[in-house]
Amino acid sequence: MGQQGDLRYLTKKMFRDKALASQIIKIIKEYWEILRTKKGFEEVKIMNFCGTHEYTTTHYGIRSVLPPGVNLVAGPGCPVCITPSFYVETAVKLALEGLTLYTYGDAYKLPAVKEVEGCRSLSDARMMGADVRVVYSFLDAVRDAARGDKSSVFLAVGFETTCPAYASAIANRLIPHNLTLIVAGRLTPPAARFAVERVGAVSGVIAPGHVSTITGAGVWKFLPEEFGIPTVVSGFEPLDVLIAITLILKQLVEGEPKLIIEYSRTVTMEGNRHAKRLLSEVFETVDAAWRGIGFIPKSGYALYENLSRYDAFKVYGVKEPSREEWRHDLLPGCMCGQVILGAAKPTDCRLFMKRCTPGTPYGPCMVSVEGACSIWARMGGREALAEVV
Amino acid sequence: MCLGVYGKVVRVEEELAVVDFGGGLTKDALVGVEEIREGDYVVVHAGTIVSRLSDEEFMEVFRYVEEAAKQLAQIESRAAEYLESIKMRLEKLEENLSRQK
Repeated sequence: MGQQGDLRYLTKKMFRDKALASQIIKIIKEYWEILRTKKGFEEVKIMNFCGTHEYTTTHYGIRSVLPPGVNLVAGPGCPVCITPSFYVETAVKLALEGLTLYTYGDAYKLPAVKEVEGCRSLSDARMMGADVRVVYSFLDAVRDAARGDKSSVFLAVGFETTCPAYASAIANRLIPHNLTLIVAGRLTPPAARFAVERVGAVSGVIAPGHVSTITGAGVWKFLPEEFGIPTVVSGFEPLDVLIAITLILKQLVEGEPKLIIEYSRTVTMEGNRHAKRLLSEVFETVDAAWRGIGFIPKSGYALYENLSRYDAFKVYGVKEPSREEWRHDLLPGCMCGQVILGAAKPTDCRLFMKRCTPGTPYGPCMVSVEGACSIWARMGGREALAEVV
Repeated sequence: MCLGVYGKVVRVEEELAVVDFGGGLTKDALVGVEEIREGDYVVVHAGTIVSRLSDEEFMEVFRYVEEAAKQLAQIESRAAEYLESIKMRLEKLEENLSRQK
């Protein structure tokens, strides 16, 4: 039997088919020629809202095979990059006070703007002797905390894909009495609206595949309907992204913006009803701060009042900054705010690969493996690829 | 960060499931979807099953490419030649898919 008939293997094989890829690239070039010569386009700017799409684009060198007028830009697609500095500072402070601090590997090196007792990140705090533990999943933290009695906090970052794990554990009463959460969950559609309004001139959107497994593709309808932007919910293999680009260009030629699900092997229009119900039972949607950007309306998850025993801020008396108290939270010279909104490329930043590297990140987009700067640093941006091709 | 890994459900135990990720790696995952069964292919994100995976629409997705080539062939006559190559390639992929099932 082996790999025969195994869907995991089959998906990779089919959606990485080289022969079909080269045909799709020809189609993309033809569409671009029509747009350029007959429709008067000087540039087509396609924005993605998922770090994994940026990874696929960069890792497989997709930018290098596209015509020069078709530009792929990374939008706000990395929850670690947009986690406000205040949350990191609070996590570091609680860890230094003797609490066990759990987080995902992505957020471990996330630097804060203000130092707390000489520490800028949880990784610094660990070097100072604090009990910081990196986990693969929230479930691992729940199990580890339940083994002891020590007060523990989980730095709960994430978009709609990650937050059902927190909601499920809370709703199913799996969380031990000694574990609380710093809830930093954020919603992507409000940020997409913000980015499209703020940056403008976005000709097409590759909508996030795994976020849409939860929310349903329906949440992206506003992009074609209100903004006239062709939108394709795409998967993460190279052919998925190439097909998504084709469908966006096709819609631009036809002049009929629509919402299309390309990632139909796992995304539906309605989404994951079970997860959505859990999310609505546990979290309310509130105006929330995004690092380097500011407050975006109805873009954050917060625990309902009756669940405040799980809320680390309430339990340890931490007051979250209000919209008025919020201060720009990037270090001097850091361009992550513009990179997140797709207004600048990582290579536009003077600190990129000089002061700021994956080994010693200065800005938040260099930390997570899904941050645009980290991806470009590890795999090269358009310029780097153009030199090779 | 919304990285999803494809896995196959080995066992379901109430709100937990054991998922095989291939290469000898199995892990527990929280069940985040309704009605999960042994043998289901799933997408796992940070230790939670967020969705089921199916191959039913594989070919429909590739048909988008054929549609685009057809449209181009009507606008630009030179596009007609790769419409043929795309059709041939899709036939091969479809044959491969039905053989694998």
